[in-house]
Amino acid sequence: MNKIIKKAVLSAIASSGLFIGMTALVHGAGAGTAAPSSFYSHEIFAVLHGFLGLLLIMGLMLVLGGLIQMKVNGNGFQMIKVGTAMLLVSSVILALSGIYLYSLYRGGSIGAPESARKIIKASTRPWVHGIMMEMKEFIGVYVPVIIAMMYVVVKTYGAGFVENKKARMMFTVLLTLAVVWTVVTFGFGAFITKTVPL
Amino acid sequence: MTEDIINEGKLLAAYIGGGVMLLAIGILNVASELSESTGKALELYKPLGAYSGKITFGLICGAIVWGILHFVLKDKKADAKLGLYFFIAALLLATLFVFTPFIGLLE
Repeated sequence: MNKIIKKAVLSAIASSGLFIGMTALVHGAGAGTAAPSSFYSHEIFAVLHGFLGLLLIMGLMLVLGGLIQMKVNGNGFQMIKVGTAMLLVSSVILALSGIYLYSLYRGGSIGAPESARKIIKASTRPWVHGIMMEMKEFIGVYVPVIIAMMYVVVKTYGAGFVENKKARMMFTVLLTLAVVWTVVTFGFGAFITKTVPL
Repeated sequence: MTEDIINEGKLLAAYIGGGVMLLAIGILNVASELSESTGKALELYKPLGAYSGKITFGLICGAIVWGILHFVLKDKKADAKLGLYFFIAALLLATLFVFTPFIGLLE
């Protein structure tokens, strides 16, 4: 069990470190503020944003695994506790990087001829912006709030979480909501990027 | 540790604060879509447009409610289940409030 947690923590630290390290490549945000070479950095930044989103979904599954293990042999609490804290940090990084990318999506950069938003709105599929992006920019911010609630549940009950049916029920409901909202946000993001990359 | 000795006041405060956070973001979005002047007033950072104000004020609103309720409810016995129901309702409403076809019905 400890080995699994160690591996999970190390992978999360490595990926987050890589992600944060890449931000140094990005100069400025919004129209006219970015250097021409940063267009490629934006692409890499967007890819890493998507990668971190995928890791978040996998992390949610890891916590679900802990919940199932806890039911089977009563041992998964540590995985749930560490996993939820990690999910909270990753979801905040993910939301912040998403907000930064949204500024590029709206304003564009010198490396790109036009902003992705303008291109989509003028295309034959303006609903990709009108419905998908309009929703994604908000529901992506809802995810850290849901995960924060999961963390508060674990913190409130502490070790008593294992025996408390009500706590486990509340946590499971919140975990399900977090999975659904994350997957929808991720799906919208993938579709938007497929339509017009940054 | 059993269910009846756990103090759920802090958890209830978190649920209500979190719910208010989401609802405030959703309501600000509807308000800015329906009124151009509200949209302009919410524009705190130009590259993000009104989105910057919606998120900032929404989060601040919820954080204030959470903070106040935390101190009011921290030593009180409460049933957090009702808070969870409120949070779920707030999440669903907040998601509806950012769904553009729904806002189109209000215009």
